[in-house]
Amino acid sequence: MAVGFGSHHADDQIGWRVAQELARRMPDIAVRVASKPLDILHWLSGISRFLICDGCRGSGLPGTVRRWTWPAISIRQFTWNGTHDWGIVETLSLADRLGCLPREVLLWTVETRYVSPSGPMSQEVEAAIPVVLGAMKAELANPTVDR
Amino acid sequence: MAGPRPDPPPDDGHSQQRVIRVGALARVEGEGALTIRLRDGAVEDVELRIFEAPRYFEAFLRGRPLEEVPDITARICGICPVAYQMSSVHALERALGITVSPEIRRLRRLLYCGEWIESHVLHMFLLHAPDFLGYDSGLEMAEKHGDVLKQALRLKKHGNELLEVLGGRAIHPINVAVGGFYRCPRREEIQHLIPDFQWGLAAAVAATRWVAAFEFSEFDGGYEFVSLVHPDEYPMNEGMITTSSGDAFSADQYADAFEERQVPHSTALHSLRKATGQPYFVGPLARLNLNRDRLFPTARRLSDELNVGWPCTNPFKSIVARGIEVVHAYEEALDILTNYRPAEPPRMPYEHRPAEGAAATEAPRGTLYHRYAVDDQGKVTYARIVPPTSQNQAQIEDDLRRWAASVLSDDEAHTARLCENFVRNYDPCISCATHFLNVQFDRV
Repeated sequence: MAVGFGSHHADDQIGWRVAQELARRMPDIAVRVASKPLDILHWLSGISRFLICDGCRGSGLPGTVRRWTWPAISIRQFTWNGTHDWGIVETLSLADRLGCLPREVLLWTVETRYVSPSGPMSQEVEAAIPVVLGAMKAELANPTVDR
Repeated sequence: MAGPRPDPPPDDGHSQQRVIRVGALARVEGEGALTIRLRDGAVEDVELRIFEAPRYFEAFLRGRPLEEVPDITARICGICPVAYQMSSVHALERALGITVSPEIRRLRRLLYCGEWIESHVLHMFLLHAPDFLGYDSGLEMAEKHGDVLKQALRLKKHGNELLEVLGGRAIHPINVAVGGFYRCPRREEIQHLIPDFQWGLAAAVAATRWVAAFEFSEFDGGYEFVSLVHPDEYPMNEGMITTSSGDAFSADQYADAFEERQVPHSTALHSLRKATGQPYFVGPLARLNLNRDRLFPTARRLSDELNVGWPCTNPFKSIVARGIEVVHAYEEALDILTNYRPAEPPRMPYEHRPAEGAAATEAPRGTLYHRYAVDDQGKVTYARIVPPTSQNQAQIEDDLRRWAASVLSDDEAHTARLCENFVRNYDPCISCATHFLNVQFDRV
């Protein structure tokens, strides 16, 4: 399963945009969008590979794409966009402690610039969409992918 | 005492003043900043800052078609989009003279049940319960209370599913419209949730009994509670804005009864009762204190059983109030699901005309007030949104003044943590992080 996190607000749309493009290009893959990380806990049953895309702060210049394999410790240094809920790291940690975390969890982050309410996406983050998309498609081409 | 406070007396060289300044915790949408001013080892004053996202949207809405208002306001809050949609459509319908059908009315209450379940359960078990059990976070709590959290997540999922079925999608409801809904689900689309909600009702009762057994600190807020009150039902979308001192106002009279004052130390405005100049308290505890006899039967019996001590003025027991409301939401949802009939038509017709209207509905965190003016083209010319967290800010600050004085110690980190725990009683829209409140002690 692949999940894009985000919201309507400026660069925080990145996860949704990547997920929507992925769903369009790979219709056989289970792809979802979410705004609250805790929601993923409802979707993990029977999933062995879990791919995530979200915006973050602190990983470099706007538009910087980084890939993480859970449980990468260094992931915890970043600030995640979004409020009113647990962050992705806390949610994955909770899934781990509750015994429902998939065998493999991969996370792509994109450094955001703008997060103003209902604002437009920055050019740098927009340019990262095909980069993340290509990387996720390459991973999903692996024969162990969930269908 | 609310309102502008006098400047601290000049240092005469004999007393020692310490001013604790808090740098804002820089999260994208939520900031909590607290300043504790100490003089001769005692708390002299407390200043709390909470970031207010709705202010952006009041300006953003001007010039937009009124049909876009529910969708735009839903983006203000990721955890309670339905509340913003409900207040907006009711305000616009009041302006345009629209009366929705009983079926639409019930479907809107069902949607609100879903949001109350999701929001309350998230806060109760993942954010607030850890404070009572001595854990630093819900993550720590998962070690020994994994079954409780799994059950809570299952309850939360029911709220999600209801929002997805009625709202059109889980991440952002798009089905709410001025006049009703764009589409009403078929009976089979919605009634398959009944077994889950039957399980959930029993589970919610057990979970509420569990939190009611926590040890609660003593604190008597002596509040003036404010919530909607409706003669026939537990309030969600309709009713008079009522105070525990016995006053009642329509939404049109909101500005006559309540005012927002600028305070020197914050960009956020403080909501106060005009009559007294004092703060007031909205939220589940206020609703229950003013409407307990209109709960559904199981929730009402539970509220009697738990020996909370009604009327309850201890904010620590807000977690129990949320639990009782989750039980009510499950009961009412089951009633609506069981007897569900799709509304026909799903939306009531209307025409654009220059008009102005206001409404208040009960968001999970309390009374949410909206007011709009529209022109003859159906464009918004004025918008005012007063969320519950803003309305509670003055009260939270007043309470913190007393609480900080009672828990102050040389261990500043511990004092800060106890202040964070206290603020979490109100479930403000910044309490999602374990350490959302940046408390700085400035000891001069």
